[in-house]
Amino acid sequence: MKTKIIIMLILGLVSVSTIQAQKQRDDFKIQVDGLGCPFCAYGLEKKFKEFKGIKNVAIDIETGDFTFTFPSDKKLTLLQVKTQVEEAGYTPVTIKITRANGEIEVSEKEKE
Amino acid sequence: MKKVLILLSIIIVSCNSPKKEEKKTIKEWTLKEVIKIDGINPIGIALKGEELWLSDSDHNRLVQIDTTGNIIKTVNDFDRPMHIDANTTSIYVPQYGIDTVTVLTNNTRKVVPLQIELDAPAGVSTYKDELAIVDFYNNQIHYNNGNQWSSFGSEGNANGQFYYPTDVQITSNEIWVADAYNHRVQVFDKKGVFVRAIAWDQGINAATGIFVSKDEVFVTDFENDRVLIFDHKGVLKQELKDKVNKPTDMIIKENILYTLNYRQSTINAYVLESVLKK
Repeated sequence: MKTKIIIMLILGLVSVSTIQAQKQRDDFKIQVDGLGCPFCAYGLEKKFKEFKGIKNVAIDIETGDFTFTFPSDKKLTLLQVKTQVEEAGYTPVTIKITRANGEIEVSEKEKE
Repeated sequence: MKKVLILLSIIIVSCNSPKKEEKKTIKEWTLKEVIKIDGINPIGIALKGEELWLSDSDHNRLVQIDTTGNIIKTVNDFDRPMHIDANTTSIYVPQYGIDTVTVLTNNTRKVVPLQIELDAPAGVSTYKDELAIVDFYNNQIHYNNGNQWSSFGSEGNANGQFYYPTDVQITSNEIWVADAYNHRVQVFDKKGVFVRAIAWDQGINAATGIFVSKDEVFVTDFENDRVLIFDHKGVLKQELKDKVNKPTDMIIKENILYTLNYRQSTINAYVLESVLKK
C-alpha cells in the first residue's frame, strides 16, 4: 500500500512538472530594421507563424519592436530567430531572449 | 528724329517690362472632407456595386461603411485581408496570413482554387471574368484570363521584375502593378509582357497601393505621406499631401476620390475642381 502511494505521488509530481514545463514560455524581443508598412509587419508575422506554438505576437511598425513568446521546452535559438527575420526580408538589429528560468540570451549587437 | 527716338524708347520699355504670366484653368482634386473611421486601420477599399468596403487587416475583418464613415456591416474571421477588390455581387479577399484568396458572396465564402502556392497574397483585382493576384514573397503576378492561369515576374529591379509587389489592377488592355519596394508602378499587357514603368522618378518610398481610373493613375507613397496622380503615360499631374498620412489605397465613387489613411483611421474625400494655374 505504502509503495503504491509513493508511486502515485511520484507520478503526480512528474505530470505536474511536465504540465508546468509545457506552460512555461520564453520571451523574445527583437529590434527589426526595414519594417516600413503593414505588408512588412504581417509578412514578418506570417514567417514566424511557421514556428508552431508562437503566441503574443506584437509588432510596432513605427519603432521596429517585434515581441512574442514561445514554449520554453522547444528552445528556440538566437540563430533560428535571426534566420527567420532575414527570411522574411528584414534585418534583425538586436535579439533578446528571456528564458522561462530567468536566463537571458542576447545577440552580439545587443551585447555592445 | 525725335519721334523715332520716342518710338524706340517705347519699344525698349515694352520689351523689358515683365511679361504677364499666363494662367490656364485645369482640373485638380481638392480635399473636401476628412472622414473619421474610428477603430478601423484600412488597407484596401473596394466597391461592391454601390457599397463601400474596407479591409481592416489589423482586426482581421472586412467593414462596410457609408460615405460618412458609419459602419454598416462587419465580416470577421479573415487572416490579414489586404488589397481587396469587388464586383457587383462578390468581394475578393487576399488573406495574406494563410496564402489564400477567398470570394465572399453574401454570407458564403469560397476559396479560389489555385495550382500555384502563394506566399502572402497582398492584393487582387477582378475585371469581367479576369482575376489577378499579387504574390508578395514570390515576387509574381498570377493572372487568369477567364480560362487559364499564367504567371509573370521574379525578384529584382529590372523591367518586368518586382521587389515585394503589393497591389494590382486589371484594366481593359493592361495589368498595373504597384511594385512597392522598387518604388514604382509597372504596366504589362495581358500576356505578362512588360510595357512601361512609371513613377520611378518621383522619390517614392514604398508604392504600396494603386488605383487606375479612366484617365488617371493614383499611387500611394506610403512612407512620404503622399498620393501621386499621373496620366496613363506616367506624367505627374498632381500630388496630394495635405492630411495624407500613411496612405494605403484609393477609389472613386460618384466622382468623389476616397484615399485611405492607415495610421490615422481616416478617409480623405476629394472632388475635382477647376483651378487657375500658371
